[in-house]
Amino acid sequence: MNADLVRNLFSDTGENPEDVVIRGLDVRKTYVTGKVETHALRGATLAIYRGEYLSIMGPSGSGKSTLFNMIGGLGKPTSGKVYIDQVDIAQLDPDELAWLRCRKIGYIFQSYNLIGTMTCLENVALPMSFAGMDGDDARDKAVEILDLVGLGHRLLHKPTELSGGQQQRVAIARALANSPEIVLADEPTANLDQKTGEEMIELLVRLQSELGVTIISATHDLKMLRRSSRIMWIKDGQIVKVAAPSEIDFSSPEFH
Amino acid sequence: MVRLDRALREDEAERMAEKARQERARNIWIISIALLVTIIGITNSLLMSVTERFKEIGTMKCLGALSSFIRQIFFIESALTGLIGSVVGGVVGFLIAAVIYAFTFGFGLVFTSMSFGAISGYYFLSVACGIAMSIAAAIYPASFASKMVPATALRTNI
Repeated sequence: MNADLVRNLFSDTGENPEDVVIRGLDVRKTYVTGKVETHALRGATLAIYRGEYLSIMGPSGSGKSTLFNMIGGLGKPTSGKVYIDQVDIAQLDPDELAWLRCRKIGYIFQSYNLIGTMTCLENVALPMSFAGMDGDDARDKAVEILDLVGLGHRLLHKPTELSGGQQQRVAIARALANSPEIVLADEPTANLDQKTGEEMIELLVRLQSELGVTIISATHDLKMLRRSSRIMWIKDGQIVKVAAPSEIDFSSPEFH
Repeated sequence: MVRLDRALREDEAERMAEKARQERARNIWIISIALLVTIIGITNSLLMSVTERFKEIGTMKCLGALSSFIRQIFFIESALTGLIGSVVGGVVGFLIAAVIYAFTFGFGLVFTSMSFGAISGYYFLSVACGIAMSIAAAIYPASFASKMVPATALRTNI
């Protein structure tokens, strides 16, 4: 690992461990298909700070999604440690991991992943019921959140009756259901048109600045990169660079 | 003479009882095999249903669903399928049997000799059996679905 990278990751030596919401130490992940081993992550070390908006960039096959899954508690690394809020996720049993995902992390997917047989309201209320909230309270809160994302008039529609942008807003509302500290967004604007994409980014930035939610997003979208606090590059399963948007020349060919 | 008569009757009764026993054993065999095939069929279709819903299961797990919740989904689904299947199947089976016997032995005889008490007893037994078997058939698919790692479930594209 080069010295620059280490300095970028742990720039502040007097760093308060409470400020680090997710820490990865030499995270490695190997997938085995038959006799073929694929090293998706080859030792990623990173720190993500509370309340920041981190964008992860990298070509497809770079290990971006794998890193994303590891820091989101969706899978366990082959070796290395991932700490979410100072808890080593390898120590957690499946139900404790479910608890963590339910209350601490909100997920937004590229393809929305709404449950097709449920209405918007039910989709948003679902994580609340997983958190043990009473049915009526969950409905009330779901209505409130859907109002917040501008879908108060579409409560009883099924996802298929909505446009892509509206579906993604339902997905954001669902991610916010249990007031998570961390929101993980996997290319949230990839399937959206320019204008809807911008609205989505605005919404995420508002979450970060007003509610102090840590936003982690995998993206290639220049608009998103410009708004983030830091940008992390990943290539061949390793983190190659971390920088603030102000240090980056967005006109360089790698962005086009 | 009397002795011979009695010996003959005993012999005949024994033969008839033996024949009945054999038929009963054969029926039990056929029914067991039919039930086994049914269980395998249900397990197979539930496994397909799990595969179809990898993404949905993964999403639910991301949202914080416990493994027991995922298991319940499949158990409830399977029990309901079993309930509907055996309720409908019982009625259809009864009608088919009634019609066949009616054409063989005559309508009058079949409908006057029918014991509704016994038939409804068998009916409830088969519905209970159907539900129990569907739940048994769901054990493997449900635990398979609930043990899935969310990242794997989400990555799989069907």
